[in-house]
Amino acid sequence: MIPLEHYLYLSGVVFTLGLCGVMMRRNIIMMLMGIEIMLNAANLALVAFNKYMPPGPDGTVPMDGQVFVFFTIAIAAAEVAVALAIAVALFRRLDTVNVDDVANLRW
Amino acid sequence: MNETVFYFATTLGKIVVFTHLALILAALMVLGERRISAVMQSRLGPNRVGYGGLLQPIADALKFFFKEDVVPGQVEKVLYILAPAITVIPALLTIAVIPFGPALTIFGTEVPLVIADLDIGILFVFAIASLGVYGVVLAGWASNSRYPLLGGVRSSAQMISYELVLGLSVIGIFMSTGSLRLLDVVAAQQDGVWFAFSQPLGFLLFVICAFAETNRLPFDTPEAETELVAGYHTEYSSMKFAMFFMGEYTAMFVFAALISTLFLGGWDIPFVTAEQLAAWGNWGSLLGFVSFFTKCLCFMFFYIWVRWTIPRFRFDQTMALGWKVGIPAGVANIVATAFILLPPGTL
Amino acid sequence: MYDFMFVIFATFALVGGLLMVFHPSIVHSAFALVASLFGVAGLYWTLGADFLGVTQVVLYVSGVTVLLLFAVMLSDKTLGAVSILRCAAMGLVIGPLAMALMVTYRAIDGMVGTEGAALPDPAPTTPAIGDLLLQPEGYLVPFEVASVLLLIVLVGAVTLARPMADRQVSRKTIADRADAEARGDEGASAPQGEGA
Repeated sequence: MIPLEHYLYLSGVVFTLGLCGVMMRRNIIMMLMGIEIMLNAANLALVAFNKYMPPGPDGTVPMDGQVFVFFTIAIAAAEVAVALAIAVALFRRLDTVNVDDVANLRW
Repeated sequence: MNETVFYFATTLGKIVVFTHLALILAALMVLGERRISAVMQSRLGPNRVGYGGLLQPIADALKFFFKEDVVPGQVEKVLYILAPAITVIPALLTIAVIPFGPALTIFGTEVPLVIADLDIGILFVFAIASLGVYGVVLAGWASNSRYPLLGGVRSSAQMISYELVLGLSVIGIFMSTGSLRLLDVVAAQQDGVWFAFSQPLGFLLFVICAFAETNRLPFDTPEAETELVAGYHTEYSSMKFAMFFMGEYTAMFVFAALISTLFLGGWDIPFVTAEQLAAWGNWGSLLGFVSFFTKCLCFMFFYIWVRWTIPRFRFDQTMALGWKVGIPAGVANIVATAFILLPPGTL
Repeated sequence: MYDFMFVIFATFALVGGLLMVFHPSIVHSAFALVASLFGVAGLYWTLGADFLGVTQVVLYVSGVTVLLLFAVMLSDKTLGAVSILRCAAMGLVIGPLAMALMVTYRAIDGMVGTEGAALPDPAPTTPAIGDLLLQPEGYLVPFEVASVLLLIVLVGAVTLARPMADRQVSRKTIADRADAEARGDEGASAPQGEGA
C-alpha cells in the first residue's frame, strides 16, 4: 500500500506546476490549463484523504471526499465553458488571447 | 492447479482470443464492405484472392506492408506517428469489458467470457472509446495541412456533441436495471424483454450515435472525400493509414457488440431462458456466444446497408441533429422511463 | 500491484504537467495536459475510486480538454519559449509557496492517520456516491445548486460566444471598405473603430 504522503507530495508538485503555468504564461487558454491542473491536484488530495479516513461508527467507508471531487469537476467544467466563451469573444474582437493586451480595466 | 496461475492463464487466453476475434472481424468487415457494396451497385467486387475473395484482407495487409511509408516534410513528427496508435489502442481496450457469452466451465471452475467484469463497465467503454477522438485530432493537427486540420476540428466537434446523446440514450437502461455492469444488463434482458423493445427511443438514439461516433456515413463529415480529400488521414500512407482503418473498423465492431449487449439481449436467444441455456453446460455457452456474434454481424451488415442507402449529412445538419433533436429526445426518454418506473400510487 | 500502477500514473501526471508548462507550442501543451489528466484518473483508480476515475476521463480528458483544443486550434498557435528571467522571478515566489503547501500537507497528514487504508475498497462505489448525492441528509442541496449553476453557465457561455450585433456591423464596414477601395477612395481604408 502506498502511504498517504506519496499522494500528497505528488499533489503538491502537480499543484505547483499548475501555478507555474498560470503565472508564467500570458495566454488566456494556457492559464486555463494551469488552473485545470491545480484543480486536479486538489482533487487528488481530496480522494487520497478520503481513502485514508477512518470508517464511520457503523463501519461504512466514507465517500464524502469523492463526492466533493464530483462538485469540483462540475464547477471546473462550468468555469472552462465560460472562460473559453470569453476567450473566443476576446479573440474575435481584439484578435488576441494575451491577457496583457486587455489590461485596460486595471486601474 | 494453482488458482492464480489458472486465473492468469484464462485471462490471457481471453485477451488473445477476443482481441484477435475483433481484429479478424475488422479485416473481414473491410472485405464484406467491398463485396456487399458491389452487390448493391450490380458489380462483383474483389473475388479473385482465395475462395470468393476471402483472402483479400491478407493481400491488402501485405500491400500495406510493402508500400513506401511516406512522411511528409511539414508534419510534427512525434504527434504524427503517435496518432494512428492512439486511434487503435482505445478501440481494442474497450473489448475488455464486453461480455461475449455465458460463463464457460473449465476444470470445474466458472470462467466468465468477459476479460474484466467491472462494476462500471459501460462507463469504462464510454470513457475509453471517447479517447479515440484524440487520434483524429492529433492526426489532423500534426499533418500540418489544411484538409486534415478541417477534418480534425469537425471530428472533435461531432464526437463531443454525440457523446452527450450517447450517454443520455443509455441512462434509461440503467434506471431499469439499477446497475452499470454489462453482465447485469444482459441478465435483466434474459428475464424480461430486450431493451430494444422496452426502450425504443433510447435504441434509436444509440444507433444514430454509433454511426456518428464511428464517423460512418451518413455522418462521415470528418473524412468526407468529396470535400476534404480524405479528411484527417490525407497525409498518411502505408501501415499508418492501415492502422487508422483498423481502429475505425474495430470501433465499429465495439459499437455493434455494445448494441447487441445493451439493446438486443447480449447472448440471449429468443424463447430460451437463462436456466435452459445453463442446463446445456459448455454447449449452452457456445450457443450463447454464437447468438451474440450473429447479432453483431447483423448490425455490421446494417452499417454497410445504411452507407449505401442514406446520403451524407451536411456538417451543420449533423450538429443540429445532435444538439436540437438528440439531446432533447434523450432527456425525454429519461423522464418517460422515470414515470414508468415510479411505483404506482406515488403521484 | 498498486505500487506499480502508482508509479506509472504518477509519471504520467508529472511529465504531462511539466511538458504542459514548458513546451513552447500551445497545442503540444494541450496534449500534455491530456496525459496529465489521464494520469490523475489512473491515480483515482489506485485509490479505489473507480467511478470517479472513469468520470474524470469522460468529463475532463475527453470533454473539457477537447473544448480547450478546439479553442487553441482556432486562435494563436505559438506561445514562444518561456523567458529565463520570468522563470527565476516566479521561482522566488512559487518556491516558498510550494514549501508552505508541503508543510501544511505534512501537518494534516499527521492528523489523519492511516486507519482507512487497511479497509478493502468498497465494492461498487457507484451506489454509495449516488445515495450520498441524492439524500437530503447527504449533498442534495449542493447537487441541486450545482445543476442550476450549470444551466446558468450554459446560457452565459452561449451569450458570450455568440457573434453579436456588432459582428454584423463589422461585416458591413468591411463591405463598405471594399466598396470604397473599389471606388479608389484611400481614406476609407484606414482602420476603423480602434477600441471596438
